[in-house]
Amino acid sequence: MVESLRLFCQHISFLIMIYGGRLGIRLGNSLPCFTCPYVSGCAGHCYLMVLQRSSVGFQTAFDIFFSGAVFNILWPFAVFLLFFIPLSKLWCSWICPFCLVQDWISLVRKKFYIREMILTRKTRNNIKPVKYILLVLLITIPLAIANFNLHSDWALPFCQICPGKPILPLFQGNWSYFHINYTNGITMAFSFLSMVITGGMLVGMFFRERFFCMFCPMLALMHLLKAISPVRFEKKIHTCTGCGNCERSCPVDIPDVHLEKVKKNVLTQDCMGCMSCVEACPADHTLTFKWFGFRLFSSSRSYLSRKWSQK
Amino acid sequence: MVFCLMPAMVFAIPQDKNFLYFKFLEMKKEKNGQVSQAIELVCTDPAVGAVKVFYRENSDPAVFFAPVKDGIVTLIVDKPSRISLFAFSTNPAGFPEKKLVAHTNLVLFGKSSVPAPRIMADDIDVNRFAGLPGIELLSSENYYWHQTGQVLKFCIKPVLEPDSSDIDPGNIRIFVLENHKIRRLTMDGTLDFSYDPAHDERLRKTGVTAIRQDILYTTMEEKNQKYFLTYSLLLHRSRKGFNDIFSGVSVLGTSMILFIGLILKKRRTPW
Repeated sequence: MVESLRLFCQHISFLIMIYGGRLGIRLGNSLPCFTCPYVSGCAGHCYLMVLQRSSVGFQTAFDIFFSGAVFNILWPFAVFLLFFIPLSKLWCSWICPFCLVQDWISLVRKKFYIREMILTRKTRNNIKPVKYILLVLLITIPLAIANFNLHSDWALPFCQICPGKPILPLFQGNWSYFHINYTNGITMAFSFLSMVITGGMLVGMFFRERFFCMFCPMLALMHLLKAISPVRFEKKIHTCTGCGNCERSCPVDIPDVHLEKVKKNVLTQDCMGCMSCVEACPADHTLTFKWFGFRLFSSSRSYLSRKWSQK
Repeated sequence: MVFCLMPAMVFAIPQDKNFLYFKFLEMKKEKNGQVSQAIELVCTDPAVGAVKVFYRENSDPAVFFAPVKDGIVTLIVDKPSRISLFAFSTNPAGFPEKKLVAHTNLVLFGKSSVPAPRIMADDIDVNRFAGLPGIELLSSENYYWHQTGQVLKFCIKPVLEPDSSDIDPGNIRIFVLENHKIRRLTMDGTLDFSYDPAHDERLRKTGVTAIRQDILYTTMEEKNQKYFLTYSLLLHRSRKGFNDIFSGVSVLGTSMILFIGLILKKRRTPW
């Protein structure tokens, strides 16, 4: 089953990403998933950190930016594209270690039969721009440090508040990032905010599947680049029965696949490519994930009936 | 050759001792990706001879010559480089002859396809200075990002041949000029000198890349030679010294309780 295969891939990638560095695996610092550089011995780093750094990211003076040194900034982006383009958003549900942590937390809730928190469409629509705002901030704040004398303790603004920073090192027995940094007012404010956000996200992840993904700026960046990806999620409008299974089975309740009546490509901004909707669709070949035009996985009545008969 | 007499930092160094040391000036990122670091040579001895400056990069045994212009050495790198920088001079007046040695370590993160200019040192000069002792910083946990509040260890070794040391540290005393105050370094059981730089309010407020420069100095006599040694130590603020885990866990716990309470209170209504 696709769900089991996805979880298997995610567990393997989790082990590689979190512990692989100790085995000599080096995947660089431009990965399109939340594998955190604060985890010592990880196999690779999240690209968002590079994006915020000096010399290789946006913490760069304008005169250097528009000189030959821009190659140093473009190089990590080119590596990011090399990783991103083949898999696109499949990185999120199939590889991202932080996504798996969220799945584990949700699993605990399900085991205790605790009801999931329900978000209205209005709330979900209001949340959508947050990830783009975070993406803009994590670019403009480093630019302001390098060019407008903003205090250097604003460096790596997103990393300072990202819940991945304290949570992922826990898997290496390091809980030292759960702290308040009293060095000065800025560090104290950032670390306080980090703890409040981490607390909120942990609770949110428990009561709501993939809660953090709704705010993830990496997802926003990926969505902006989806046009150059070979991964497509297609819907055959004329064979759709309108049953709504896709929306109900979606961990992030995306209504667009169900409601879309015109467009063929239904890879929306919140979609993480988990393929739950394709698994749940009862109409043959109505929903299809394609890669370079090849069919990766397509909805089928017989698959769905087999899946439910096993349960 | 006198470069700069009595800058503010020198006031606390005893006036009867004449030292040569490095003072870090501006670090600059060039448009081509190279990084340059200007370092001023400060000498308090008016009768000192010509100063020669050499450096080594990473673990490369090759010694390069660094030209001095108006008392300033400019190091340029095109790749991430750990640099060990030395300056030597002598004052032949008086007996025994005075030999002045300055040493420092720094890391520069250059990234350029344009190769940085390098001048190989003259073998005669290298052999002349190879056996001179210098204050050496032993590698530590944060091997290039030295921080206040972290114990650093020093020893006296020949600067260009650190593995061939036969210097007895027993009767050597190393002092440090720390924020205009002089402290004596303590010797530990392994006969290394320990230095625990105090936290600095200025560094705390200024930012993560702000630096403080401390000067370690000592004098020693050996084989009818008198040596005046310095080490210029670059320090950053402590990265973890002001982190409080208890406060962090308390804020985390409080926020979690508040969020859980909020969700349970609204559990019957969609958000």
